[in-house]
This record gives sequence, structure tokens and C-alpha cells, in this order.
Amino acid sequence: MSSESLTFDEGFEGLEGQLQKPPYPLFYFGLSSVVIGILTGLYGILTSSSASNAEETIIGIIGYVLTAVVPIVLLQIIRAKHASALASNQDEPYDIFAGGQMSSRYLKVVLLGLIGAALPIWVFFLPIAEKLV
Amino acid sequence: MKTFKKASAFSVAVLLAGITTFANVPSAQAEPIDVSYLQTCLKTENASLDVLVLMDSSKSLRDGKPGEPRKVPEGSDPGRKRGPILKSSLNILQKLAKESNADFNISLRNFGKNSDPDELEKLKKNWTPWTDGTSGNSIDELVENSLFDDSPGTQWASGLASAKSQFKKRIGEAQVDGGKSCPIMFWITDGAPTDSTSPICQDNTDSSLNWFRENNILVLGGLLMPLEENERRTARDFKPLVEGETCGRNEAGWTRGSVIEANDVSDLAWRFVGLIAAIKNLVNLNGDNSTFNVDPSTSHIEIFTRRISGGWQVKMPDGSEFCSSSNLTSRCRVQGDPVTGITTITVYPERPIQAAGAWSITPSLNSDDFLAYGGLDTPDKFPSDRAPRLSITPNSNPVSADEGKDSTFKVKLVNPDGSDFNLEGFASIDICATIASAPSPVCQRGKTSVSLTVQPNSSDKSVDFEAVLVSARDSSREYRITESVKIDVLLSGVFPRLVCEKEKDGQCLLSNLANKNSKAVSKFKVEAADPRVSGGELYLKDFVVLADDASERGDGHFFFQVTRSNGQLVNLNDPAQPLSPGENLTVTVTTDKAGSGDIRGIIKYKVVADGQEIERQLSFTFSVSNAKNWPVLIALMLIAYLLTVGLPYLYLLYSARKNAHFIVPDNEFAYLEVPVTITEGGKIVSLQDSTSSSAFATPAHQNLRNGELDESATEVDLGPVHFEVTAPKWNPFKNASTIVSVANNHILTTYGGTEFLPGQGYFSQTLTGEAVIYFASEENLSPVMQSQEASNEPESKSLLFAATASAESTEELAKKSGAIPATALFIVPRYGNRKKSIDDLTMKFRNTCEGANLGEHIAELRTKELDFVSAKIAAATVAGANEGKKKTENEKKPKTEKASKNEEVKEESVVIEKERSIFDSNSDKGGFDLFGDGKSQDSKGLFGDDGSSDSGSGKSLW
Repeated sequence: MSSESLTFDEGFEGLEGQLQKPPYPLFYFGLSSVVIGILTGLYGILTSSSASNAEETIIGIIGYVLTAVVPIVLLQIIRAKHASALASNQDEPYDIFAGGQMSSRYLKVVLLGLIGAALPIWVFFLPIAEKLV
Repeated sequence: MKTFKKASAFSVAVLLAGITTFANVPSAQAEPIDVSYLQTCLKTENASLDVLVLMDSSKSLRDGKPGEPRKVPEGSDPGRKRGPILKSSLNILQKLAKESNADFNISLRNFGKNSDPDELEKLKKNWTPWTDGTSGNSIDELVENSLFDDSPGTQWASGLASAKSQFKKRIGEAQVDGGKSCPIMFWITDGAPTDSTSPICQDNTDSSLNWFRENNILVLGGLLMPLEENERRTARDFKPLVEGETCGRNEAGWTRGSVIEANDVSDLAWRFVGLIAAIKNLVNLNGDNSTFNVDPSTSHIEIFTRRISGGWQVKMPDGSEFCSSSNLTSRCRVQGDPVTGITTITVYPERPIQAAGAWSITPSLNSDDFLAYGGLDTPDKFPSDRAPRLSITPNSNPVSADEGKDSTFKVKLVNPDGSDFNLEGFASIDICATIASAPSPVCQRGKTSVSLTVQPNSSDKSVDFEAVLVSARDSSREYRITESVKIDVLLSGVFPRLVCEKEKDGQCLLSNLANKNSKAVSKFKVEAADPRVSGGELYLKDFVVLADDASERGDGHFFFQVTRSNGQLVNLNDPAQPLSPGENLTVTVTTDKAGSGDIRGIIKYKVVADGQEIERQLSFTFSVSNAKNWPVLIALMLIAYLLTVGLPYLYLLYSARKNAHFIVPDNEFAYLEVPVTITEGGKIVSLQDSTSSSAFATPAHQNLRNGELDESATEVDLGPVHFEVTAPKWNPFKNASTIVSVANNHILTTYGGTEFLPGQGYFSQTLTGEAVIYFASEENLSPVMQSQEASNEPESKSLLFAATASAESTEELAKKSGAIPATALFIVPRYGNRKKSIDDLTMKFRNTCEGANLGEHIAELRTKELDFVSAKIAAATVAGANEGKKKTENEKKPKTEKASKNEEVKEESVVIEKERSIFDSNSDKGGFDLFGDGKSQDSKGLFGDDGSSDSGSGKSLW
């Protein structure tokens, strides 16, 4: 190993320790929101045989907010933070790879939420579908 | 003196009052339990003894746990002795039901802090629905569940509400099945309520005690006095509350509740003896420590003792031994309970008529440990039918009766052998007849043979008779002898009636309810009983749901709206809104709770005609399902999905496309083009600095040129180098990719590049801090033609016509060699330490080049190019030869063979094309790409993020 590469590696390792991390709490918050939203939708479907209209409406709205709205809002925040971190990478070194990885994974969380939103939407419309029998 | 007299008078008054109070205590305790309804009920056909245990589950029952804040650390029943007491009581009631030929159902409702949903859930886990209690297992299970003691509260009202719901269900089901529920509720608590008792004492609440009394539910309260003084004071309200002295009221025909109070659980077990004996139609004979006086015709005596030793003896009034511990007969049974420590001696006198007198037990016991109960008519028929009974005439099964008209029954109290009952030894006798529709019974006093007249309604199924004999010895002894006669009431031809549109087996078939959000409309009509009879009117009283298959719904969750044909709403139970014969009614049924199942119930209505008023009821049935309009639901779902998910998708797509631009700090950058040479060995040598031939020298930062671009710029050209940020086409979940391209050049970038790619490569969206090196592909990679000369000599010089030596020149394709002139482009931020930036980038550039091992890499590229061109030439040669061969063969052979040859040529071409494709850049891979944006270099799937700008130029993030 040449002395030059050794110097580079040492410098790289030192730099990595100071790298700004992507906003992981937002990721986990969004993931929790989606999971809870999907569970809410499932609960709504399972209890639809005994729930009142008001309960179904509330479950539908809460589930949709958790599965669709919250993740998308968080996605925008994560993207904005990522772009901002990239822009100021020169001043505050940012772990671009980890940030990109997290953004990419979070997109899958958002997709899961958008698919899972079907459950609360279903629950929300149950009373209407029943009225139109 | 006057003062002294006044003081004396006051003292005497206080003393008298005190004595009266003192005297009242035992008499109040000795007040008989109201088992009148229960006894007659058990005599009816298809009766069921329905016992619900309403058990306190508060933490105060157990000892406090370490660190638990408690006023009193000791629990009122830490040993859980209430379990065996309850089990013993239920076993006795099970036997009672069996002896009465009645069904036996049990249910459990625990109560604690029911208002807390979490606590309620815990309580509900222990609840037992109505279960057949004839098996021992069901009783064991119920008792086990009743012992839960971890709820932080004692909410009486909530507990009663849950019990009421259960009883409504059971009573309704029994009615629908043509039976009769004989209900008992054991309400066991150890403390003062933590919720308000006012709902308990009001009418028309979920926890109204009046409802229990009105429905003849015998409420038997067991109060374990709390240990804390304040709670003891409040808990003392329990008895007057249950018994209706301070809470609600008791009316004729209702059943009065009773309470026993105990300081500890053993005491409770002892006092429970009295409750169970009363249910068995036994009365307290108020014995002293050894003797008890028995009334004439007593057929059944039960002696309860605590702490009895062996060697006891029961003696008859004449002093002779009836039985003893060593002389047990079939008429004298002994049963001991090791848990409660209570021994029961059951005695069946041989001649009940002659049983009267003072019986005794030796050795004498402590009066607190001795109880004696006796009865004339008990369900226990052992050893033979020896109890007095009521003889009813008529007693055909059933007895026909006319609705609203007098039905007279001759009732006579007789001995078991049919002879007249002798009233000697009794102070009084009352014989009464009761029908369900009448508010109070019809009674006659003083005679053993009476005629009783009732006016049954169509809702009445039986007439219940009861003779109450009061002992001459003790007025608190009320012996009950009961009988029930089944009746069949014929509808009167005078009164108009309510008929429904659809009817089956005497039941109205209402329209089915599709679900909880739909309405079921049914038609009714008020019809004259006889077309010749006019007049009369009726008004609707109530719709009662008796049975519902769906759990926890039932009565109270269905709403019946009645309208006349003109749309006018008909109020229920409103005599001011009479309905006349000929009127058509519409009944609309809705429910607020989902659940599929069959519903059965009755419509109660009153009919008034000829100044007479009678109550009738009409049975109805319908079903509720969970039907849904699936096409509408799916359509709504799709629309909603389109709007609620489609719009966010479009927004995300818009956002992704909007953000697909260069992210350059301050939108300015600096760049530098450096001409370099890639040596045969793969080293990069700067042409500008001839001195550093061994390593690439850092370019001078002074030569940097500035550039700027728009904030939303997606492409930029730096000389021949073109940079472009490509937005995702349809997949908003894919990041934008940045491509650098130079036409007809091979490119290697520092953005994760590991090899020279033809035409284009990946680059950073930030543009700065990266470098690219490129060279012309054709000039530097394509193979070259090399000439070779060969000298041929003849084989022998002796040959006469030997040819002279000749030189031949051949051309051969050879791999390109030599250094490659290339251009390196460095892009750094415009501002800041540009020297450092260019130094850092140079280091990165050098590392990239070293990592790519350019010497071997370029040699490999050249070899591939050579192979490709060689293969192409070979293919062309083969094609040419084939063409020539075909021409000659075409002249000789039929055309059919030509076709096969053509195919061979085609196959060869395909092979060549395939080989070519191997050497092609990876831009033609054409992988699966659901949301492919068309420009992606290697779209691999739905969310493949390879090639994303942030992903390390092609390195997989996953």
C-alpha cells in the first residue's frame, strides 16, 4: 500500500465520522404512520360488522391520513432536507450515499402507504355502499 | 320537677326507641325473601332457572401489592373463598332446577371500573354468556372467571347495565321459545360504589333496579363489609338500595330484592345458607341452640351447622331419635362442605301432617352456628310425593279461555292424599291467581277452597296459583304452595286486531333488513275481528325485540317508525292516537348496530272496544344481514383511489420532474479542461506538465474557468461534453439521473465510474466535485490494418522451369496500440478554496483512474473492438462466398435449396449481430421497467434505483 493511498484512506475515515446523517427519525415516523394506518384499516374492516357509521367514517379518515397524507408530507420534507444537504455538502459534509439510500427506501414506504390506503378508503365507503343496497 | 319529668319522658322515649330499633334488627334480617314469583315460575311448563352472577372484581378483594396505593392493605377475600361459596350455591340451584324439571342456565358479569375501555376489556374476558349450567364444567369455569380481582373501581351502575342486557336477552329468548325464564341474580360486592347510584334508582335507565324488580328478577345481594370505615358507611346503603327502601320502589307483582351482609367471607357463606334455603321454598324455623318448632305438614327440614362434632342426634317432638350420626337413613341425609365448614342435615319426616312440634338436635350447638329451615312444598320430592298441593279445576292442558272474559278456577288446598288440608297450626291462608297481563293478583283469604276469576289476554300463557300459609307459631313463617295452569286464550270477536301483510305460522314476517344502513318497510292493517262488527280502536304500545342472533345488540338497538297511509307519524303508547279498523300502517325498521341474524319480537298493542280495554301482542320476525352494494362500493373505491391516491401520485410525479435539475451551489461552478495522454501502461500523463511523466499532476487552479447555469437548468454543455439531468417519466419514486455524454467518445467519470463507457456515463446532480475523462473511440480503439511481406523460394534449384524467388505482401487486421490522447474535465465549486477543491478532485480523479486499471482496461477495449471488426469481416466474407456459390448452384439446382441457404446466411448474420450486441454498451439491455422513463440506462424493475443520481452511479443501494 502506497503512502499516498494510506493518507487518503485515513483522511476518508476521518471525514466519515463527521458526515451529516440523513433524517432517519422522519423515515421511522413515516414507516410507523403507514403501518399504523394499515392496521387501522384492517381493524375497520374486521369490525365493520359491529361498528357504527360514525366509527367507520372516523377509522377511514384516520387510516387515510396515516397511510397516504403523512407519508407524502414527510417525503417532501425528506426530499427538501436531502436537496438542502446536497447543496451545502461542501460546507457541511453530508453522507450522500446514506441519504440517497434512505430516500430510496422511503419511496417504497410511501408506495406501501398508497397501496395500504385502499383499506381505510374501503372502510370509509362501507356505510354509503350499505345505504345503496 | 317539670324538667325532671320531661327528662324522664325523653329518656324513656329514647330507651323505647332504642329497644324498638334493636328489636327491629333481627326482624328485618328475618324478613322472608320474595320467592313468590320464582316458586310459581318453576312450576310452569318449559321453565328455566336462569342465574346470573354479578361479581365485584375490584382490587379491594385481594391484598395490596407492594407499592400499590391502598387505604387498607388487607383484601376482603384474599383467599378467594367466594369461589367455593358461589360454586356450592350454583350446585344447589342446579339440583333445584333438576328437581323442578326446569332448564338451568348460568351467566357471569364481572364489574369494576367498567367506564374505562381497557379495564372493561379485561373484565369482558371473564364474562360468561348464558350457558347450560347442568354440567359441572360450566359451573367450574364460571366460578373460576368470577374470581378476577384486579379492576380499579366498583361501578355498580355499569355492572347492573351489563346484567340487564343479559337478562333482556335471556327473558326474550325464553319467551320466543314458548318457555318462561325464572331469573335470579347474585350480586356480590365488597365495597362502596365508585360511580353514582342515581341511575340505579331511576326508571328507564340501563341500570334501573326497578327494571329488575318489574321483570321479577330475584336480586340477592351479598355484601362483604369493607374494612375501611368511610367505605363501610357508604356500603351500608347497599341493603336498603337493593331491597327498594331508599332506591326505586316495589310494586305489587314485582319481586323484591334481598341482601345479606357479612363482615368476612366465612360469615357470607353462612348467611348464604338462608338465601339458598329460601329459593328452595324453605322458611327459617328460628331455632335456638338445639331445638326448633316445626309446623304441621312440614315435609322437608334442613339443619345447617358449623363446627359440629361427631356423635350428633336428631330427635322428634316425642323425644325419640329420628336419626343420628351413627344411624343415617334414607330420610336423613348428611352433607358436609369442607371449604365453608357447613354441615347440612336434611330430614324428611315420615308423616308430615304429624311432624308438628319441637324437634331437637344434641349435643346443643352455639346458636350462631345453628340454622333450621322447613318447608311444606319443596321441589325435592324425595322420598315420595308427600307435600300438600293445590288442586285446580279445570286443569285440562291447556285450559281454553276467552280473551277479555272471565275465566273462573276452583282452587283447593289438599293434603298429598287429596283430603282437605287442615288449617290447624296456621294463622292465615291466602290463595291467589296471577296472570302476566294483570298488574296484581286475584286473592281470597281464610279458606282452603276458593273460586278465583281472571280475565286473560291473548298474551297470557298460564295462570299461576299460590297459597300462602302463615304459621300460627311465628308470623314470619310464610309457607308457599304453588301451581300453574297452562291456558289457551281464544281471540275475541269483538276487538279489532292488527294484521300484517305477510304471515307464517302465526308470526308476522317483516321485511328483512339488508344492513345497518338500510331500512326495511313492512305493511300492517287494522282489521275488524268480524266484518259485521264495527267500532273499536287500538293503539300501539311498544315493539319489543325478544331475541337477536347478533351478540350485544338486541332490544334497544332497533327503531320502529310507524306511519299512517297519509304519512302521519304514529306515536307509540299514545292513547290519543287511536287506530281504527281499515287503517293501513307502514312500519319502517332500522338499526344502529351491524350484525347478521334472525330477530324475533312482539308488537304490544291495546285494543279498546265496548268500554273494555285489553292488551294484545303480535309476534314478528325478520332477519338482518350485512349486504353491501358491491359494484357501488368498488366504483366508489376506485374513484376515491383515483382522487386520493392518483392526485398524490400526480403531485409526486410533478415534484419529481420539477426537482430534476442540477443542484449546484449558488448555480455557479468552475471547470478546467486538461489535455492528457493515457499511456500504453494505463497512466494518465498531463501534456501541460512534461516534467511529471510518472503521475498526473494537479492542474493549476488559476486556469479554472467560471460557468453558471439557471436554477432549474437540466442540461449544460462544456465544450463537447454534454451534461443532462433526466427526470423520471412515469415513476415518481425513481430519482432523476444525470448523464454526461460526448459523441463518439469513450467516457470515464469519477462519479463511481470504473470503466470507460461508449458515448455516455453517469454523473452527479450536483455537477461540481466530479471529473470526467474522454477520448475519441474510433481513433483510439479501432483496429488497424498491418502489411506483412512474405518471400517464397522454389523447392529445388535443379528444376528447369523453377520459378524465381517472389515477394508477397498481405494485409492483416491488428489491435490498436499506443498512447491515447484524451481530455480530462474537472468541475469544482466556483467559490471557496478552489485550490483545495481541485486538489481533492485530482486525488479523486487519480484514484478513479487507478481503480479502473486503465492499462488492462484499454487493452481489453481494443481487443474487443478487434474481435468485433474481425467477426464482421468474417461474416461479410462468408456472405460473399455464399453469394457466389449460390449463383452457380442456382443455375443447377431448383430454387427450393436456395431458400435453405438463405436461412443459413441469415443465421450467421444473427450470430454476428449477437456478438456485436455483446460488445455494445449496456444502454440496450432493455430490462423490465414498469415506470421506465425511457432514458434510463438500466431500468431493472418497478423501483430499481440503479442509475439514480444519488446512488453512487450505478451502485445498488439495496
